[in-house]
Order: sequence, then structure tokens, then C-alpha cells
Amino acid sequence: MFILKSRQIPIIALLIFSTILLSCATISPFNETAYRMSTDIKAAALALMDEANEPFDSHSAEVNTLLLEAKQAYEYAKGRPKNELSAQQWAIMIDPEHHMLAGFFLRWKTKGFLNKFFIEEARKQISQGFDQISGLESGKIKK
Amino acid sequence: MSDFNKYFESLQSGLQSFASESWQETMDAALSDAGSFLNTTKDDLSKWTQALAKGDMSKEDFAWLVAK
Repeated sequence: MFILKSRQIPIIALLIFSTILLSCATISPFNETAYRMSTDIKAAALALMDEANEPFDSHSAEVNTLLLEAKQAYEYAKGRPKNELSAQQWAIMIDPEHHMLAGFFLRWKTKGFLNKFFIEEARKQISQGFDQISGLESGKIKK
Repeated sequence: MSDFNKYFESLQSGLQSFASESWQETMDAALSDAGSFLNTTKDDLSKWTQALAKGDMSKEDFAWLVAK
């Protein structure tokens, strides 16, 4: 009969734990819809940000529509299993307290209009934020 | 030494080497990312400070960009 020695038990436990860990994906697989949402919203957001030197009131409807789409993308990300990182990225993007998409629109609304230099620099930051979201999605395993 | 013991010793040794290599890769990537981040931030700060001095940007705009 096979009897385990006491020093072998931790190794076996490690082996079992490693096997379980490797067999369970720790992040969701690639999702075409999620990727498309991130790139479509990015393009629309950057185009709308270019208009931020004009009065906010003349673009408020477009801003609301875009923020709604971004919130839908967040809800979509949040609803996917093992997708916490992507959901957190979208949460930052739509939180007006953060200096990302919703934060920029809040500033535009508060100030009425923004100056060109600021728009261009904020645009770069928010563009990088969207690249992080789409980059994470495209880096996931494709089934 | 039984075949069983040999098997687990080789497994243990393999895991140690895997962990060592994996952490090295993670550390290298983290250092590289941190270096890129600092260089980018340095360039941005330099540009924003000049814009602030020239009046191309308000103090509030500057603070908003820096705070991210």
C-alpha cells in the first residue's frame, strides 16, 4: 500500500493548488462586442472632445448620449464573469470625480467651454485610457 | 529513492525555477513600465508648465491635468 511521507504532503498540496489555479482562467476570454464598444466609444469621445471649445449647451445632448453608451459598456463589462479589471477601467472612465471621460465633460459643463491647449492635452490622456481598455480586451485569450 | 520521490523532487525543482523566471519577467516589465511612465510624465509636466507660464492654460486646467 502506498503511504505518503509527511514532507510530501505540502508538495502534493502545492501541486493540487497549482493544477486548480492553471485549470481555472483568472480573466475572461476576449469578447468582440466589448472590444468594438471600446473603440467605437473612443472615436466618438475624441471627436466630441474636439468641440469642447464651443459652448457646452450646444453639445449637451451628444454628451449625454455618449455618456450613456459608456455606462452601457461599463454594465456590459461588469456583467461578464472574471472581468473585474475591465469593469474597473470603465468605472474610472464614467466617474465624474476622475479626470477621464465623464470628468472632462463635467469640466466642460461647469466652465461652459474649454481652451484648445487643455482640450488637446486632456484628449491625449483620455485616448490613452481608452487604449488601456481596448488593449486589455485584445490581450485576452481568444477562444 | 522511490520513483514517486524522484517525481516530486523534479516537480519541486521545476516549480522553483518557474517561479524564479516568472518573477524576473514581472520585475523587468514593471521597471520598464515605471521608466516609460516617468519619462512621459516628465515631458508632459515640462510642456504644461511652459503653457501655464505663457498663459495658454489656467492654474485650474494645469491642476486638472496633473491630478489625472
